[in-house]
Amino acid sequence: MSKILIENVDLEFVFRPAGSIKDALVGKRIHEGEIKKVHALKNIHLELSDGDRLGVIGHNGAGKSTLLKTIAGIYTPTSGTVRLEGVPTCLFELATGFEMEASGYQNIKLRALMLGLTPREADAKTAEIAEFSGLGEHLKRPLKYYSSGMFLRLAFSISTAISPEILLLDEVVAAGDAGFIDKANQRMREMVDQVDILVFVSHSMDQIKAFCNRCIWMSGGRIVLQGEVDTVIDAYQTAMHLNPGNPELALNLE
Amino acid sequence: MIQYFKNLWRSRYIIVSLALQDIRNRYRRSIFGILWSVLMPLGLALIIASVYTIIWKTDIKTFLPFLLSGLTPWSFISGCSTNGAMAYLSAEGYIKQLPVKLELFPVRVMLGALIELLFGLIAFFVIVLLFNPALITFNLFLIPVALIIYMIAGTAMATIAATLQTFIRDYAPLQTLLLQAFFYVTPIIFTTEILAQRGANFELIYKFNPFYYFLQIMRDALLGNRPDLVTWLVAVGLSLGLLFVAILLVQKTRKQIVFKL
Repeated sequence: MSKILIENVDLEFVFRPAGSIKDALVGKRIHEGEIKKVHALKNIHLELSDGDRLGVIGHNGAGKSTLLKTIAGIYTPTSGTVRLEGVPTCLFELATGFEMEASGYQNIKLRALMLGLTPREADAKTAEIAEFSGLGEHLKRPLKYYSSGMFLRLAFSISTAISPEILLLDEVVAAGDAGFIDKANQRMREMVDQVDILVFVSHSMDQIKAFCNRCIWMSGGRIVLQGEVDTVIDAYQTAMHLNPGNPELALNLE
Repeated sequence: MIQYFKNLWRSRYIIVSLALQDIRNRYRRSIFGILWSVLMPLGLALIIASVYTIIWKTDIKTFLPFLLSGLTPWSFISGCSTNGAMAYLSAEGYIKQLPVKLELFPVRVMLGALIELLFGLIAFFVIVLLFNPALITFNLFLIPVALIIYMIAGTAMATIAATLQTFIRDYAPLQTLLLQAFFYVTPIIFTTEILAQRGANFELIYKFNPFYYFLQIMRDALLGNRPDLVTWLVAVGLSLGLLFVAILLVQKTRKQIVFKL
């Protein structure tokens, strides 16, 4: 049984003008006007339970990834509450969070530990991950010598090895040769089928249609429309067509 | 408060794994490998000691062990602060996408410095056995106690430096300068007697210097001095005080750090 409950969530990023010691020494005050605020999430309500597969669409900078990170607990909202029942796994920024000097094997172990496995469980998992990545002997070499394709194969294999209850997915593009892409896509599908709840951010309407049974459209940090996948996507695409620069405006005109 | 220790305990496997990797990477593909950790302090001490012996005709038999007993703890302290400043910033990739606890990264830095410190102690014993075996006394039993105090203080210093550097990017160079200043003010390459000879006012230079107490407890253990209870109590008090500040900082800034990386 998993659940995501988001109530009244607001998130503001505050950018202070780079506070340097020089300014502090000469007693320079930071004026209100110099502090820039970005209201990344505005009054978000969401309730998801077992079986929900939520697609999140919208323009760049609409707050989609921020929403994902807030659900994951990486960002703490400025106000409102995020409650989670179940263990979340995030699949975004695939290429970060590795020790470049360490070998593939060491990175697998480390990541497994960070995801909460005990050393014994991590060792057991290592063989499985190594096998899936198909990198063989390369896993003994430090990551800094990997080609970008090899690197993504490893990252994908590690990140998808532990089946979560809640999967937070941000536009994952599998890389590597054709054979690996097939394998990766298949694993994605298995994962998506197995998890209790999926939240999927994507610009590919086909992918959203393939994976999701609910959809929200975000713009300017707000959920502007939610409902059936086809309905929301149609509205979004119509709005994009009417006014490519500012689809939200088009929506309001309707 | 308790949450801090719980988080560290839960992260213990990650911390050990990261610290081991740091050690492995440091001397990867060098011929002497880990041996450098012993050779470096030895070499540095030999250089300083030769200069002193030639210019001021200091007795190398007593001066060399004295020097190493101060240099080794000092590099632990400065290592924790200097590398600690980058502890959060260099962990951005982890903090931004994995459910890892923030407080583990300064501990990783401290453990790296601690392992160097242990190798430094080996260097010390090599010198003592060669030049002055009489220094080996029952005081050596104090080494583990001193090491525990060091681990507490080192973790605290690394945490404080990491937090300050994340919020104020000017902090690291400033800290480097401060540490450099303290290196010359603290009795590391000179003795407290030298200061005492110049008059009571000069004694204040080390008596009000927190680093003096941290160095002195290790010197008591290594050089067979009669341990001074007050010195040890001050060191314990300072390290617990620092840790308290560090934990408060972690609690206050935990939610903001990710936005500042």
